[in-house]
Amino acid sequence: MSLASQVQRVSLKINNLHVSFGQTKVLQGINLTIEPGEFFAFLGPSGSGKSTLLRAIAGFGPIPKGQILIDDEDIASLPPWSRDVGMVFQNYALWPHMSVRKNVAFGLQERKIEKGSLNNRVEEALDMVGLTHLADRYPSQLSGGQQQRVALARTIVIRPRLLLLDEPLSNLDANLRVQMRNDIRKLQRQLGLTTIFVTHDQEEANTISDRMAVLDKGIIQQVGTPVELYDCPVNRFVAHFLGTTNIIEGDVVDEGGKSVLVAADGTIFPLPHPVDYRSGAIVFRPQTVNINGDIENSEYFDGIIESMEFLGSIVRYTTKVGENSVLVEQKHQRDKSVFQEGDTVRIHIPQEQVLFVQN
Amino acid sequence: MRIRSSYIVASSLALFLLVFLVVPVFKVVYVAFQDPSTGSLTLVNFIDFFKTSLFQESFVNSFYVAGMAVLLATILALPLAYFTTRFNFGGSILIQTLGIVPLIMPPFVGAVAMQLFFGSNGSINLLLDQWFGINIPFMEGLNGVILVESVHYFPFILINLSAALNNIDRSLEEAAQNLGCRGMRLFRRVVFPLALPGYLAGASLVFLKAFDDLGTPLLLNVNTMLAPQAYLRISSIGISDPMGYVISCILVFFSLLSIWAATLATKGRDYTGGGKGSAGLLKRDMRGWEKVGAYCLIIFLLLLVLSPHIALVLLSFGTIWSFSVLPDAYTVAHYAEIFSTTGDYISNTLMYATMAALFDVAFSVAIAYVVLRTNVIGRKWLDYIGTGALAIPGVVLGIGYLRTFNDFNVPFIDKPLASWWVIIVIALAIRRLPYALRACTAALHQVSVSLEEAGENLGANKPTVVRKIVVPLMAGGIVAGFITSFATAAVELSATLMLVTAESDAPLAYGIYVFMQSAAGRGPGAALGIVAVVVVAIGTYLSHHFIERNKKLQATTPG
Repeated sequence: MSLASQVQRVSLKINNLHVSFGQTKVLQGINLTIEPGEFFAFLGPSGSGKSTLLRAIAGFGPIPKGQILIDDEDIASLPPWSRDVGMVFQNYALWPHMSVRKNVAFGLQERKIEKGSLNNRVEEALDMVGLTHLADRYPSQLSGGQQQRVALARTIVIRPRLLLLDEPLSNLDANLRVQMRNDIRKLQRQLGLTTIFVTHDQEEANTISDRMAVLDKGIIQQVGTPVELYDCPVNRFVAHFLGTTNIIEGDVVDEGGKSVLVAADGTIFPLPHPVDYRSGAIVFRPQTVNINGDIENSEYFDGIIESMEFLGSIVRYTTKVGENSVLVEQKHQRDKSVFQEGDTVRIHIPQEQVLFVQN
Repeated sequence: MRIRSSYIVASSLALFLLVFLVVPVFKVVYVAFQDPSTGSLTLVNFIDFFKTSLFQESFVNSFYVAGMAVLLATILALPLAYFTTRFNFGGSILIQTLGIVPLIMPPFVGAVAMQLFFGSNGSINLLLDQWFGINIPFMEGLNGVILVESVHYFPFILINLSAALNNIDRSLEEAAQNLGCRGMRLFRRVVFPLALPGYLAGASLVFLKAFDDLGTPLLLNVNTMLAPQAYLRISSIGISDPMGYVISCILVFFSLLSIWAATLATKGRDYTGGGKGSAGLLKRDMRGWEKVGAYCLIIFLLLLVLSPHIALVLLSFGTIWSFSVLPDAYTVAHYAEIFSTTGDYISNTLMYATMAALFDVAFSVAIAYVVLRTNVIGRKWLDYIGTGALAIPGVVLGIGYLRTFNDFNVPFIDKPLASWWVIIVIALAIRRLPYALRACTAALHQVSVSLEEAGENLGANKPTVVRKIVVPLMAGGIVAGFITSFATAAVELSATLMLVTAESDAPLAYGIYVFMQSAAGRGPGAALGIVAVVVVAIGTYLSHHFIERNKKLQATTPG
């Protein structure tokens, strides 16, 4: 029987979870639902509580308040060894005194699996990560990528209900990281395991996950697919954390039945829709902004090019509109002219690309 | 570990330390402050102590001996440490191996043998008299104690100083050179300050050992020092005489003080392992004449520090050795004698030391685990108190046990606990606990917590994780701790001297002490000493072997 057919597809539901280290509140009321078979990422800067949340699901760290439900069973009070939640550690945590085979067999031995089926399952897991030929080596004799695969095999061999990955790619070099990312994704698809992946790298989260949660200061800021989060960030943090963006703060004023945002220097930016807040910020992506020639008889701002970065496929300008910095990205082609520092330009911000967020 | 069980383990560890370390020591301190007739608290004993000229002299002598031993040990260790870390030359390995040999013999064993070499009628002085007509009082009175202590304990400085020098980040030295600093100035401004913590750690140990040592002054017949005075008061006047306790108090106080001073001096100065540069000083090859000079110096120093061993070997094989450079003739009779008549000493030693060392490692693993892996409130104190045993001189622990457990009859045996052989094992275990504790704590420090979490994550509970992951990964440290405890317990004298009540219960060290006191017993005593040295040497070698193997295993640990 193959490993994939054995996998139980479970859902994970977290209700009002709090974790504190002494006086420091690390998680402050986490609510989250992860669907069966989903590849879910926790994304956030260091200190945001993403690893603490993952470790709380595995049963490590301070005892949390709140519920952690796997298919409606609350596991929050279970010790780590009774949770059946497989975790791949950031530093792999391979036992240096055991061979690859023994590392992988460990969890099955704890589950008192009889010898024949144990050996089959170990072989199968090693085969899935392509390490059958290294089974009798010790961890110290393996490369970083191979160690990573052993850690993965050691975890999936027990057919856990959940697969937790704690920044598993952070110790690998850039090329290997992309390859492992794809391999992990493929393996997860194949197995259909509900998987949670912790990372601080937005590109990693974007490429690998079905949905993700952005964390900051122990609070989930937003949950959604990578595209949703990029296009419709709900607050400044999410907008700022995912990709480069323009954020301009100001007061909301009613002008002729339309809401507009008045920036600190007095520049007036129209808002896409009427809003009830007194103040806030507009958010728009640099690649949506038009500059000079791209503008056809619509409203525009006068701007000055402050600096220019040539990135190959695009040119990124930092422009000054009044006292506000506005990033503008323009696709680059061979015959396209490039503005220089000090050039005066016209800048157009398409209304449908502007998002209003509260402070 | 769930909350409840970790507290049960921690409190039973604490209880044992309390009963067999804290209470006896406090008893000694308490009695020192007690009026012998009325029982009320008083300073009168201390006033008496400082008014008595014998005690004043002993007090000054103990400080003089310890201080001079540190000085002499530094003079022996400094060139050896410098040569091995600064230059590429073959002598390094020789120094590193032979340099630690003195440690594997307790000083009192070598003391008598040293007299035959350096005494006023010893080999050296006979030769000097013959050639130059002079006689140098190497072994007269306190000189003898200083010489023996420094020759035996200088490796503490050598090991710590070499380690500190080897750990200095090479780029620090290179940075200084890059900024124009070199030679002695470089040494004074950069190298020496960086190595100072290592030197102080070693020097404080030498001070402590020389200050507390009982066997050496007794065997050299120097009684005007603190430790021998404490022993003599208790053994000749009795356990109710307050002076023994006052002296014990002073010994403990200054031992703690020297450890505290060394900790203070090294605090916040752990410079090791910070940078990414390679460790150790810039090494260079020696020029021809430098090599000759270095070898001469090193051979001279090594001959000096190995002289107790050489003398002991000669003594153990010699027939008569008196007023002559070398023994008159050689025989194996002494060895035959000890194996036929003193089998008890050897079997007792093996039994006591094995039991004490087994106990030490089990206890140390438990303390290390509680301290590093649980949240038990006050857990650090287990470590502090366990390590603190280092500052309790054997003679003080012995007196404390006599005073505390004399009234406690062991059920079924109907004997006071203080005179039952088991108390010797407990004393040895407590005395050697710091060694095992260091080894086990260091070993557990090396085990990454995530290795344990990975085990729990895969379904193993705490006891299983300890058994399958923690203990195997600590194995090197545990074995090293066992062997260090075993080897040093096998030659411990000061506490056992107080606690042995029957010849049949006595260990090897006691036997050597008894033999060495009579002229006729010196041969067999030396033979017994050689047996002890061989036991300890094998132990030290094995311990070193396991530590190295463990280091190799841990060095390749991922993450």
